[in-house]
Amino acid sequence: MKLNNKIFSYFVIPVLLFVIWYTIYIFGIFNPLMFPNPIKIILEFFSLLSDNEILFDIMKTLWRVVGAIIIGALIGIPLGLLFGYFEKLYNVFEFVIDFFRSIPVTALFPLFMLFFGIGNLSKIVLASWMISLIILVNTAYGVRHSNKSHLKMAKVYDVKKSYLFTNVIFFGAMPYIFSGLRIGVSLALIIIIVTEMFIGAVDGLGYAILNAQLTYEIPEMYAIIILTGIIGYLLNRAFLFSEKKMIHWTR
Amino acid sequence: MFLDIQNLSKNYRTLKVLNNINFKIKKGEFVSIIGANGCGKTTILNLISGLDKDYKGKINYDKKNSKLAYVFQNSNDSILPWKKVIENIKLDKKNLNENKIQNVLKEVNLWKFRNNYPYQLSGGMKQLLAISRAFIYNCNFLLLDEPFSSLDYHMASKIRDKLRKLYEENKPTILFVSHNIDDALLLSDKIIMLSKDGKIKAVVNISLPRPRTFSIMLSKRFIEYKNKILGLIKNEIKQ
Repeated sequence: MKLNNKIFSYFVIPVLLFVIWYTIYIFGIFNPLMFPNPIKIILEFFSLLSDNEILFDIMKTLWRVVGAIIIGALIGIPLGLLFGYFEKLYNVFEFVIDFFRSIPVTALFPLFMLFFGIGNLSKIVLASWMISLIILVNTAYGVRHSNKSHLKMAKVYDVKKSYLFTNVIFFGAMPYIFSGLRIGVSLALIIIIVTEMFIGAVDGLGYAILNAQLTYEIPEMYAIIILTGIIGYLLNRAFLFSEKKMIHWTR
Repeated sequence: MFLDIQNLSKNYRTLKVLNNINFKIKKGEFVSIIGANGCGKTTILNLISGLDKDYKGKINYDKKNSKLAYVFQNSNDSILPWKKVIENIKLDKKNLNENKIQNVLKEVNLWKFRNNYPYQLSGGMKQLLAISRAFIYNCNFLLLDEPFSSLDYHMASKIRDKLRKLYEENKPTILFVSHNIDDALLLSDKIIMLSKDGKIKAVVNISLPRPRTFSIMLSKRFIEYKNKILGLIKNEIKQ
């Protein structure tokens, strides 16, 4: 049953989608410019895999995403631990955090370009800004909802503050931190791809998608979109895998 | 006197949980507090341990010369699930006596599981781990909050016996909260019975000989004590 489900979701449904697309193409239901021959897209996809230029774009996008995640986590996790532990501190900053979280991040890009230029920095800083806020809120929530008795136990045995934060509070909040990271990684990919479509971008998957569209290489555009989707999916799976490995005690 | 509780009262907003409680515990004494659910048994432990500082009255004990340990009702509360058994014992302390760790863990059959995670242990073993830690730290004042309540009869009897042995060897002062009369009788020198209105209903001194093994439960004196306490409970239910 389990294997059948897997075959269905990984093979049958994609084949079905392909058949529907191919039917649309054969009967010319939509403009072939928008819905080109899917076989052409697949061939394009495989030729992309041996294309150094697109591999370079993938690397560029990935390092921006990873950079943004690392910076976002380095800012969001410690602040989240503090805000979660010192409830009064969180209450003071709650409005500001919620307000900044509510601003659509793409609306801030022109501002960030003004401060950090049109290169890598502004893209990474913009994505880290959003990710750090998400991780901060998730971490603080995790600290608040972790087992309070562990804190009591640590207090009774008079453990040092540094141990309390790194070995008790941090681990207690870890399931929430990981879900923040997973949301963050998907969002980072979206933000980085979008920013790569802005003026000044010379590489990255966002740039490649826009470039293919501007030059009417529509099958190539679709192929890069599929490639981006696969990268996003694999990033998510990688996080799920490491989450399972690292938070082994919740199994 | 090791612990002296004077006029202790505690309210949760309008709800009066403890109502002018007075009792004393001698050094090395094993005292049980029994009573119905919600009569304030755990609250007393929270107040003594200092986890809850909002109360009226006095709690006096030599804080400087006592090392306090608190074992919670649920074993998962007392131990960190992400730390191995040995790490749960050591926490951030680097100068613990390795021999003592080994001896206590061997005594309770946890030594061979020292590199296992708590989720690889049974509920009873986890509770033993929490209790053992208190003895490894040479705690001379133990607060135990219904440590056997989530265990089946066999496991509870086994762990109770381990606790009894550790107590008889180390003689710390123990305040043990329970609603199990057999546990209280087998372990204690004194049983304090709380009533539903948060007052002390009775204090019963238990002068059964030690070591108290399982077979003492069949003795005439044990049954007499049990009947006495059951009589008090019956009285309480009628009221």
